[in-house]
Amino acid sequence: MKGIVFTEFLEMVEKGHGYDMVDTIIEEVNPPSGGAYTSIGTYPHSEIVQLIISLGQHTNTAVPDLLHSFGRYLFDTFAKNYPSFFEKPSNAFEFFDSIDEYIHVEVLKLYPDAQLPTFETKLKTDKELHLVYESERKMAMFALGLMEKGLEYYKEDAEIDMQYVNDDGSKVLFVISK
Amino acid sequence: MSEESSIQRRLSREIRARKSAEEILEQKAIELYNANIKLTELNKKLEKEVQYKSNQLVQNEMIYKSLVDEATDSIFNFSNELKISYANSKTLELFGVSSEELIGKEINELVRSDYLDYATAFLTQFWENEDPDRYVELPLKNQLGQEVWAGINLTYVKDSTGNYFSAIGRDITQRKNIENNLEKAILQLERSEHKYRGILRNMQLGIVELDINENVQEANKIFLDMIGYSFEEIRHKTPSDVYLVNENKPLIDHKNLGQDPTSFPVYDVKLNHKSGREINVLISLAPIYNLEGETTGSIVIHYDITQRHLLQEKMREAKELAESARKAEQKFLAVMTHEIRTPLNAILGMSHLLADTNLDDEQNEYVELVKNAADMLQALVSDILDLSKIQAGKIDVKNENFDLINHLDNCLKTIQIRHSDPNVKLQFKYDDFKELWTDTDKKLIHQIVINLLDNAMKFTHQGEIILGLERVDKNYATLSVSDTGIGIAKEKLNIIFKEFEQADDQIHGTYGGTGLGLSICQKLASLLGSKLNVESQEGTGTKFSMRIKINQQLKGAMTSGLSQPNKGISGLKILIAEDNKMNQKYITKLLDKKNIQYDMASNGVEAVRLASLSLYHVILMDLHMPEMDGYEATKAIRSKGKNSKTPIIALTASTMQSQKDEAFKVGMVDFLSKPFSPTQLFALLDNYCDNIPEKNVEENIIGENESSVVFDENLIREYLGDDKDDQNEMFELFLETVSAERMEVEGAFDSKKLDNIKMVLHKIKPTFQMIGLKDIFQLIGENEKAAANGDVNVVNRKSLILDRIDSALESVKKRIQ
Repeated sequence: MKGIVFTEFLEMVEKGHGYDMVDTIIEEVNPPSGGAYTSIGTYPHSEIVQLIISLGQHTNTAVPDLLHSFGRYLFDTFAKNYPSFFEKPSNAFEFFDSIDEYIHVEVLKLYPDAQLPTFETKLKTDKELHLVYESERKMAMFALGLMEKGLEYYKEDAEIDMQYVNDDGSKVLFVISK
Repeated sequence: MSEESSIQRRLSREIRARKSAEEILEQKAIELYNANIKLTELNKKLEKEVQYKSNQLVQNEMIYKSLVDEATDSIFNFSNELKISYANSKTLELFGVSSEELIGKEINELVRSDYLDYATAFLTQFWENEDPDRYVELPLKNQLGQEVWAGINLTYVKDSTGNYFSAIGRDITQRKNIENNLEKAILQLERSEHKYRGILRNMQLGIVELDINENVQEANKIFLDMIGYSFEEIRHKTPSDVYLVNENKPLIDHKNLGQDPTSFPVYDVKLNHKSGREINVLISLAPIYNLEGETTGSIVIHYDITQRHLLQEKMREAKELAESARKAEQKFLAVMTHEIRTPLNAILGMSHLLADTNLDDEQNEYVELVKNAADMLQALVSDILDLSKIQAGKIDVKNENFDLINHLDNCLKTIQIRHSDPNVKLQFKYDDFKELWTDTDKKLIHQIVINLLDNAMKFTHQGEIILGLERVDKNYATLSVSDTGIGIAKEKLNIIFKEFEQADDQIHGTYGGTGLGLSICQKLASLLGSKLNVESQEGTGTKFSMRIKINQQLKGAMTSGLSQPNKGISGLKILIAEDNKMNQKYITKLLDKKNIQYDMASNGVEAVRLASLSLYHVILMDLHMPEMDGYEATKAIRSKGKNSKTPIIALTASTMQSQKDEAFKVGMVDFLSKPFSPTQLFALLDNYCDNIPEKNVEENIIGENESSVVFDENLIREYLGDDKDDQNEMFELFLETVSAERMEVEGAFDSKKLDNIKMVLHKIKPTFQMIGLKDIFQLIGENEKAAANGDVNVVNRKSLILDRIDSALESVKKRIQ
């Protein structure tokens, strides 16, 4: 898992609950990497999962909700750090359509060791877009947060309906309709 | 957890994070450095590669350039301004110039002037369309002023040296010349076609092209005008679908086409005009062949002859009208003359009676005048009657066998009784022979001679009148009447045979006469198959003459024999020796018509063989045949066997006397010159009918049953009419009655009583006549008569008569079937 996810997560926790909460969940989880994260490093995925679970326990919040909020939070960072990805598409559907085909391809050029989910476009019309999310990380809620912010970024109004294709959440169909 | 320790932990975490980030960055820097070194090395390698490839390119270009230079095709480049920038050696050779002379020249200067516009247009289009390449053929001028046709492949090239046209040309002058000649030939062909089309158009021929299924493919305007249909109305239809009258359909049947490629028959057919009327056209059909020689259709040519048909119809009507008028006139003449004769006879009779009474001189003179006038009138009426009879074809020409000398002598005697002018000597002069036989009409000869002698008497006042008979050859004699009379002017000779014409109007005044005498003589002569000729000199005399056929040779054989009644030529049995197939067919056809039996030999050897087998009445012998000629064959037949006495007649196309003499020498008796008409053949055979010995006929009758039963069709028609059904009804009736009567005949003969035989023969006789069995009718009649006369031999003829009756029954049965 890329370091930026850890640093941004901990930044979000600090902003919401103060550094003590950051300190608390790191101390509690006691991750093997030592909890000193840098955005250019790479760390095990299990560590972020444990940090999120720990935060949920301390703040009395469900993990999916946390993932959702984190998705929304991280979008702004992405938009700020990588504006070129957002400038090219002229609307949200085009942007979503370009994730698999373009953005992830470019990410892999920079970080060959990055492990990315797939967003396959199944249907695309003016009014409707079907995307299938597939990842062993089962972070569809995180993706949902990102997409909601994406719609906002392009100032578009649309419904996002999430349907589980696999019960474990490793494969999810997003139906986005205007 | 204390606050200090939380801050300390945060600090320591951030220091650790920074150090790990620095580590990562250091590692990345090293990676970058390494990558840079690798890239530099790669770059060097690539530069080397580029250098190598560049060298190779230069080398290749040199190779290509020499290839281009030495190429057998002309290769040259020219700029956008159409100036030549490069030309290979073949190009220089083509134009007959050096490289310096050609480079920089405008391409237009090389093109033949009349093709300049074309070339410019081509290049412009090529340029505008940005075609990758195109092909053009242009006539170019070389330095020597000769014309060279070039086929040029043009490519527009864009490369580092700029844009230009690249051309690859090839000398196609020879091909172009051939093409030009071909074009000229085609043009000539087109002109020739045009010419013939023009001719056809002016010939007013309707022309239709049919395909192999007889569907109309093309039709010219003349034809469409002819039949009144439009082309659309007849297109893809067969002629009989639209305009050909159905009965003429077989004439254009393609199955009959092309069997004889040299002749195309012409037919007179009817077509239906669109308006419904019929038109008459002459059509001719010629097949159309494809390159393989198969018939692919036909050309039908139509020539409108409707007008001609109408004209012919009118002419026929006019002719019929004229003929019926002529007939009416003849009838009128015949009736009138007959009607005139009756009172005329009374006048003549009464004048004679009156002359016998006591009359004074004056009265006698008047009666004499009346008699003379009545005599004249009677002569006139008689002549007119003769003439109208001749014209109406009512004179039957008989064939009588008589001695001319004897006959003419009688004629002379008749005249001598009538006229006895002491100043005119009347003589009969003939060659030194005692008799001269002929087969002709005795009465007509008499009439001609009397007329001619009468005429001569009338115009001769001093000198002599000679009735002459001269033999020309073995077949002909000339009969003549010559006088020393007033003669006839040369210019009048041609009118003397015309009716009611006399040489001079004055003659009528002086000599009287009807002017019909010579006309009648001429017509009678032609009825006898001869012609009356005249030679005359005014003041010296006139000679009339005609040829008469004689049969001198025959006489010896004839007189020796048999004066049996004429059996008719149907009873003859003939041997024909003739090698020519055509002639064979011709003769046998004629003989079949007359029911004459015959055997045919194709050469002399066969003729001799057949002659040794059976007896013939006549042998017709061709003189020139393979194997053995007619002379040899005649000698052989004459020397021995059944036919040693049979008349042999020569068939020959030659008229040479030497041949005829030779033929007579070997024993032939007569001639038939080829070609001969049916009448000539039958007339000749007729001469030999009398020659059939009675015994022969009987032998034939007994020996050969039904084959010798001959129906006389004329008799059948006379008795039973023309209707076949009516005839057959009678034939059936005949079978019924005669089958029963046959038993009575048998019974009568068995009784051996002449009376019985006579009665039964008398009873059955007429039925045979009625159904045309003349021969059997005669046989029965003769025996009936014999029985009546008490001839006991009749009793022995039972089987003969019964056989004949059986043959008759058999033949009738066959006829009905």
